[in-house]
Amino acid sequence: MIASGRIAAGVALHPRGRLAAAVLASVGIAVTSHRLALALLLLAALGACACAIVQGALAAGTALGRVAAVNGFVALTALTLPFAWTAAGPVLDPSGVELAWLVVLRANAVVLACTALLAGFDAATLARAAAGLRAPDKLCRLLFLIARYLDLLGAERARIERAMRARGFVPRSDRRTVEAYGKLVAALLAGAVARAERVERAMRARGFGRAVPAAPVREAKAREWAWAGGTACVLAAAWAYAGVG
Amino acid sequence: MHLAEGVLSLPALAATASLAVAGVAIGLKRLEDSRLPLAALLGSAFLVAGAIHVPLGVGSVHLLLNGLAGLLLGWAAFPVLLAALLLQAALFGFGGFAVLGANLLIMAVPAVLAHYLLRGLASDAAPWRLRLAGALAGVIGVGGAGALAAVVLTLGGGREFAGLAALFGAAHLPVLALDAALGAVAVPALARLVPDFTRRGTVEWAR
Repeated sequence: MIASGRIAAGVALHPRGRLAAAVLASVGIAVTSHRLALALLLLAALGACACAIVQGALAAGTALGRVAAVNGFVALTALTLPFAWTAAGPVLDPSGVELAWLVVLRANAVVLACTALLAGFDAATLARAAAGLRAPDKLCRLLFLIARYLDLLGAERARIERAMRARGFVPRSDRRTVEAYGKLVAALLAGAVARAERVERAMRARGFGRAVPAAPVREAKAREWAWAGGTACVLAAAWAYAGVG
Repeated sequence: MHLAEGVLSLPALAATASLAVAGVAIGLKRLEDSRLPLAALLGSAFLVAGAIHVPLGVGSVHLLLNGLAGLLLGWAAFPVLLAALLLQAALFGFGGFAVLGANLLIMAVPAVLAHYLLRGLASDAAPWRLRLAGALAGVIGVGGAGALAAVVLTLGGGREFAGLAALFGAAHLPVLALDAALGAVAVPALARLVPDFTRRGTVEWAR
């Protein structure tokens, strides 16, 4: 699925092309209901992940962690789907078994494909990619701002939690823990409100009519679209090989 | 509360995606430019708070807080939660892009509902009303999300999914209890920290 362009470690090249490719891969795999085609797509996604790991763009541990997280839900699905509940108890249902196969294959193919295609993405890169794909202007500005503030509020949470621990707080399953975390959430929200008021005032003082200026978008080069093109080719090849219309 | 990719049929994916797009469009239209930083900061705060894991028995439960987010964000919960889900899909591999519409509906519809049902209760300064509003935000947010997930699974997957839907709902009962208990603490605390929070700390309360 890596059609062209080298992925440098930690830096996302051609973000919009790769985001488009990841969306295309997700949708393409989600609408495929043919087991052989899905197995081929899963192999292709696995290959793409292996390429990204070999190139140093993706840590093997990251990929494994994501696959494990997705398969928690998938395991629930695979355990419940094959059985039909009747008055006599659970009965094996062939259509449920088929469905369980599809879910296992699809979920794993999508998570592997997206992990490979979006290797090295951070919040800011995602915002840039969405802007490049001409997502609504306000939504992109929202994404940029969230990308900007996520680290900041994460550090704020770490600071408050450090202060809580310094005062002897140990999280347990009790009322005191819920109260402490409730106050932590309130403190985070209050900090967010105070900062938003400062930002708004500062923007107004500098003469911004709109709160945040839109990000400039440059025209895409052909090779950025090679990501999406490559993904489309892989999807088409799998469908054709499996004889799906 | 994420449905994995591959569970829903094509018509279900298309239907949920179109409804989600409509919700996001309404949310963006009602979100004023001057309130963008507040919406983004609240969104980041909820993302950060959602990563808190509270120990429960042998495991731990993480917060959802979509009801509380809806109470403060109103219709802006749609674009803000979309941004959050996009970040989670891209950076952590939770959910995929095809199922994004369904996951957004599951989270954002109860959020908007919590806003309209609880805004009257939360604008009262009496502490017990604020506590009640916070607790109900957790119940409506998580309970609504669980119910919607079950509906989407059974309507969009097929009758085979009834068992999974029941299991999925049951698995979220601890989250519901935790979100409600935590909301009951957080809303009165927020009202103390930010006087007049229904005007200063909410995205579309003043409308």
